[in-house]
Amino acid sequence: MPQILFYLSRRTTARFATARVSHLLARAYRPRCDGFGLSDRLVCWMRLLPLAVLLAGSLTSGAALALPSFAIQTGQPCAACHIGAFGPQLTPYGRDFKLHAYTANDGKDHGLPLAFTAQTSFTHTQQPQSGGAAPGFKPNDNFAIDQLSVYYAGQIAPKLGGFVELNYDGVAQQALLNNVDIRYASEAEIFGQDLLWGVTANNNPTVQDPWNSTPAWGFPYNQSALAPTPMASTLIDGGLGQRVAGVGAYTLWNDLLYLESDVYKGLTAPALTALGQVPDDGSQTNDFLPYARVALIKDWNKTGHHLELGAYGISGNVVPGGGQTLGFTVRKTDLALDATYQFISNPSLVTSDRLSAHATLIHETAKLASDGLALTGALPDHWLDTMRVDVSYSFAATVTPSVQYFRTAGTADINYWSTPNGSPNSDGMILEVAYVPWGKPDSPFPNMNLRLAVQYISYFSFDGSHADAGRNNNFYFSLWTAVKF
Amino acid sequence: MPMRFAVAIAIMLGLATAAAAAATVTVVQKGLALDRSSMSVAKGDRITFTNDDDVIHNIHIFGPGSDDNVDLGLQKPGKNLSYRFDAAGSYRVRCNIHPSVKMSVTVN
Repeated sequence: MPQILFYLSRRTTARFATARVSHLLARAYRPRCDGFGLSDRLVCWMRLLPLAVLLAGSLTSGAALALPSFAIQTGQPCAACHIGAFGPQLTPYGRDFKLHAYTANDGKDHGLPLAFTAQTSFTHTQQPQSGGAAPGFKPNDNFAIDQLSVYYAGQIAPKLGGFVELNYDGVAQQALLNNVDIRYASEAEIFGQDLLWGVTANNNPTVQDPWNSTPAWGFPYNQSALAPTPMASTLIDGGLGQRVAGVGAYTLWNDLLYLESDVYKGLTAPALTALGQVPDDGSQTNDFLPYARVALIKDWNKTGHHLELGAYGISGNVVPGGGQTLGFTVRKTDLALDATYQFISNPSLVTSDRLSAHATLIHETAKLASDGLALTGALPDHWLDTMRVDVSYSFAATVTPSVQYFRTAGTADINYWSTPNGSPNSDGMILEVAYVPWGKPDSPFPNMNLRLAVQYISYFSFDGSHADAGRNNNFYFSLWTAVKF
Repeated sequence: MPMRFAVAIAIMLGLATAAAAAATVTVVQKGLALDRSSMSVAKGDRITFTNDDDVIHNIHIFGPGSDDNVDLGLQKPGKNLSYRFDAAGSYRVRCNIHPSVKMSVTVN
């Protein structure tokens, strides 16, 4: 993959770079797809389908600069929708745009709303990881292409829009279908007040949420895939991302009360494989999982204050990944509280300074199926709490320092958690500074943007251990580029 | 002849009175919002929409009939757009780009 970075970094033509990337990727994949049976080979090449779409997008990038995504569709700079002028942290207008099904536009025909992003990085961990940080990577100080992504992001038809992300994961060397949120929205009146209502089809509980205090779009917005991360996390905290498909309905009444209800169904192992997921790496379920969300919001537009207080939850039977329960089912119920506060120093300027704070507290209860108790030796009931609080301040939508405290704590059980002492507890802090030169009204490249960030994660405890926690501390330097075709 | 002169004077006075009665009201568009959520004007009055933001807007007026609408087009920062409300009824004003930019207008 570093070879690909080298080729991409050269100022060759898009077609030449694409041909080189195609060649290298085909070479990388060929040994994996050869020698299998026909069905295995089909599945293997199906994994490449999203990548093929991605490459097709790259291939047309010369002319593709005329193709749009959100910013081109609306004629707005990135900073209008995003704190720090780069996704995914949303401003009040960004939330409005999402709730209205990504359909707001400037009335012009911009063609297909396609966009392309690339994330490259360098990771340094305090202590090298024996055997390599990941297959094909050194124990420490690794450069990586984290992700190459192509998006369909914008209006599909009047009142109907979508966000569909296809990734090539450069660390796992895997093409996959990432987040999907396709929604329809309309407006009405009830009790003499405005009512916005919509329906969503998505594949990740909370990916459809417009606030960054819920897990799917929460801070940190990117993170090293080559540094150790704590083992325990709640189901709603990414445990079902891209592993389920769901539909739901939402309403926003009087710009005050937000209600949403969804139901998710787990994808089968062949479906997961076809979409680029590794079935055993995460939770699997054949169950229907209900999801609910409520939020109270208040916008003081003239003074620039915005507040949201909410709750969300999900429940269902899952088989945890990695053989955690030897394939036995666990009934998990997650209930969470969240809050968002934003202060926009001058609401008439998208480049004005912005303070943003988020908090969430997720409480999970897990009940192991009775037939699994004897074989696993685990306790029948566990709880796991995750708490995160982050604050950021964006200077002129250009420099955005952020800080977060995170903590996960739960029932210690050596037969349930594969940590050295059976404790799932971890806590620590994340410090980050991001620099975004463009994405403002006067930026020279309205079709392009980039985000340069340095992030430091410091663990106070890690997988139940205080003594060895610091060895997992890491620096993560990332360059995130976005081109709106 | 005096009769014709009197009629002409009356017509001119009438026109002048009508012209004086037609008012222009300015609605400020700032911070991705309008400075009011509703207002009433008389038939023939004009509303001028400012753009005090640093991004483009696109005022669209719906009404008074269910199929009636006028798109005032893209509005760059610092530019004003105006529209004369010639028919009585209820109107909705909103920005095509920013859903939060909205108000209702009643024309009497």
